[in-house]
Amino acid sequence: MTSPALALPVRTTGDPAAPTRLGVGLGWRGEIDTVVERQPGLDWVEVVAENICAGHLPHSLTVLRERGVTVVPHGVGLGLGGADLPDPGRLAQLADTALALGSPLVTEHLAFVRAGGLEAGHLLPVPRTRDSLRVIAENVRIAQDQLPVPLALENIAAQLAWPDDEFTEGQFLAELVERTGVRLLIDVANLHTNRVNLGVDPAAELDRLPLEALAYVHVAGGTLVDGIWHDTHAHPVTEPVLEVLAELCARIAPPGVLLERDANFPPPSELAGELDAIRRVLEGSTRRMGDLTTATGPTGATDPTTTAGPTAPRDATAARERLARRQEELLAALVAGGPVPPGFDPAQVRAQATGLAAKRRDTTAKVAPELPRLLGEQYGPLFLRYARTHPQNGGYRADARAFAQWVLTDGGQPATDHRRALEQWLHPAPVRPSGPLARLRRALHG
Amino acid sequence: MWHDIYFIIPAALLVAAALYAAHTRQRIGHVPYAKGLPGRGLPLLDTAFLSGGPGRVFDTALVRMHLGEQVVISRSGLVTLTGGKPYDAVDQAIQEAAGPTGSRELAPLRRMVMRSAAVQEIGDRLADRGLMRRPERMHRARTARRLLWLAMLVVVAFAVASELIDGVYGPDHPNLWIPGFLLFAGAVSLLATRPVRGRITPAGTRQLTLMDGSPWTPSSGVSPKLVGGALLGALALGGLAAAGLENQELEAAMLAATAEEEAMRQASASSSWFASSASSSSSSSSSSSCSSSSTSCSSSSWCGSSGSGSSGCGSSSCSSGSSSCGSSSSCGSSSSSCGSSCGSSCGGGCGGS
Repeated sequence: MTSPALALPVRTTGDPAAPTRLGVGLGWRGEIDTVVERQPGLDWVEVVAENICAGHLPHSLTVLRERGVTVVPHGVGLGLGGADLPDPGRLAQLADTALALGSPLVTEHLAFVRAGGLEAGHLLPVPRTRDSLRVIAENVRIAQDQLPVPLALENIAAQLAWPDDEFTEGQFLAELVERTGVRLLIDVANLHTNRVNLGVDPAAELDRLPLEALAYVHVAGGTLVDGIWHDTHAHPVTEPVLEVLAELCARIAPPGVLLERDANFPPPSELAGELDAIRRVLEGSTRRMGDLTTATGPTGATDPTTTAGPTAPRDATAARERLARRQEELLAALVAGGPVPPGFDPAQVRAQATGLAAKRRDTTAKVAPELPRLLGEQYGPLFLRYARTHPQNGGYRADARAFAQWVLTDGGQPATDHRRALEQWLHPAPVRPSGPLARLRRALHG
Repeated sequence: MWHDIYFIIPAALLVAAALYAAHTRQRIGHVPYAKGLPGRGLPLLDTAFLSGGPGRVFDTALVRMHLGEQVVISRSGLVTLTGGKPYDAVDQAIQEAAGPTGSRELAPLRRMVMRSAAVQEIGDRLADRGLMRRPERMHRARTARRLLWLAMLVVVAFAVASELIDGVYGPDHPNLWIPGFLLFAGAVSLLATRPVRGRITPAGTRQLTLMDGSPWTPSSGVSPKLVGGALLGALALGGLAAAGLENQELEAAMLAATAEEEAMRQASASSSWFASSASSSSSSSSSSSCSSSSTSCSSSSWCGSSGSGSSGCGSSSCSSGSSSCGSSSSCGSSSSSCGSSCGSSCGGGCGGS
């Protein structure tokens, strides 16, 4: 069962610029792999690229692919909006994943995720200036060179705004499309988030975006708390988000729409209901189906001014350094207790900092579920106390261990309550042979 | 004759041991609340317990929750709650065992729920109405019989000692009919307290026969809204293999968890005779998983399947199978080749907004 508004998920041959028809899809997550496999009429899935390894694909993905379901890797850790050149290792891994999955494209975000040795653990907005545009366009081009399939970039949900933005996010993405031929992944939930939190009009943003470069659309749920929209991916999809989707569908028939659900998973039938709601929105806009046949994608022409000229490399390096400094300052304020950089709204920075710490707490709990189990209700407050003084600079696993170590030394009462269990968790004892003889030997040797 | 008087000591020991053995043997069959057999009206999870023990109760309750879309079970065997009110105390125990993250590997979840008060109570209930025998009472009866053997050994030792001492130094031989009689009495007592096999009483076996024959659909223990009552009935009565779940991934994950439990039980049973005395030094690995639920861990007595008489619910089988950060994340199994990079944003990473 394919949604009427979408053509069959068959890859178009001949015209390489034409977008791949994907259909209606669901974000594949390890916890709900069996649910994803059983969704009726699912055309494609998206996987978080960092969560799978090309050499050890989950069996579920193999099953889905054998059934003809397209799988698209979605990167969250490349940080193409950062000041550093894209990491060749991460790029190679993304490329391997795309090849292993036979994916028609890969996607990433217009965001930075690390700076100055600190990890944000989340997607942060880039300063949208001409200066940073050059740097990011170069990053995108490098990524495109290393990737075997087209790349699409996604708009993000921002909780804070840079003081000197020269472009809106839509304009910035349009510039990137023009300069690099990158494709677009439009997250309508993020457009809604920015409408609520930053007052950005989704319709106006959609007008500024070159929708002919659209690869697919993200839809996700969230929740409104104290007037702030939290794009949680852990709540049902709400009507306002679907309205933005309808707004987009009124302009172009999207080649694909994907529902993201990352946590707090609902009963399978509820997910099916959300997919049906998306299909209904698409059905409501069938009159624009013809758009797809004329959508040929961006020309792929690159801006000659950014690549030519003997002075360009030095300028580019200087721009990179400026971007690096600014991102480091902001990230230090967000995760390392640094001062709020001039021009920023302190309230926004505070809110974002709280959000980052909470996200880090929850992700660590997911990676090391033993910790919240051991510490119970104390886990949350303890972790936030730890996070205030210990910015993340490695992976979540290392973070979990560092946190456990910190609880042992600075945790106070909880540490004494759970010392032995925490030590056990940190240093699991090797499997000891059982049986009376082995025990006797151990007893004798102390 | 004075040495004959010494036989009072082993005689007293033997009599005490015989009385204790008789008492414990009698306690096994004690039924405080005898009722008629409920026939095909036995509730779902009681049937599962009677037919397959605490593990079967967990399996049945989990499949019931799965049918009701209250849990999602991944191919790797990760159980994730999807909300919904618990139907009964066992559902509640499963939800509690899943912990604050609402998600837990199948095998440790199974072990925890098997030991939960909610499941143990089902066994107590069945024992109270005479369908099952309490494992701790069977255990006590076995210990009592061991004491009886020991007392007989003491009798023999006394007989040998008196023979040696008096045979060498004294003129009159001790009367061997005294130890002979004592040994005879001990043997009779041992015969009389022959251990019963299995946890199911004859009444319990009869109750199960009543449910045989045509497929059983439980009338109690299943929400009326839920379809799949017959499947649950077959699962409770015959286990996973007999029920034949249509969902093969679910069946594979559950069979794997059962196999893991089996393996752990066998490993612990092989060394159980030494376990009680040396557990303080050897059970360190189990303390972490037991500490959070120490009450249920120590008090649980119904373990394993009801057919086998093994008592594999001791401290050693409490040890959690999962290591510190084993398979909890989606790329745990692949840590060898690219663990570091996976670890950087494992478990959703930045989510993917």
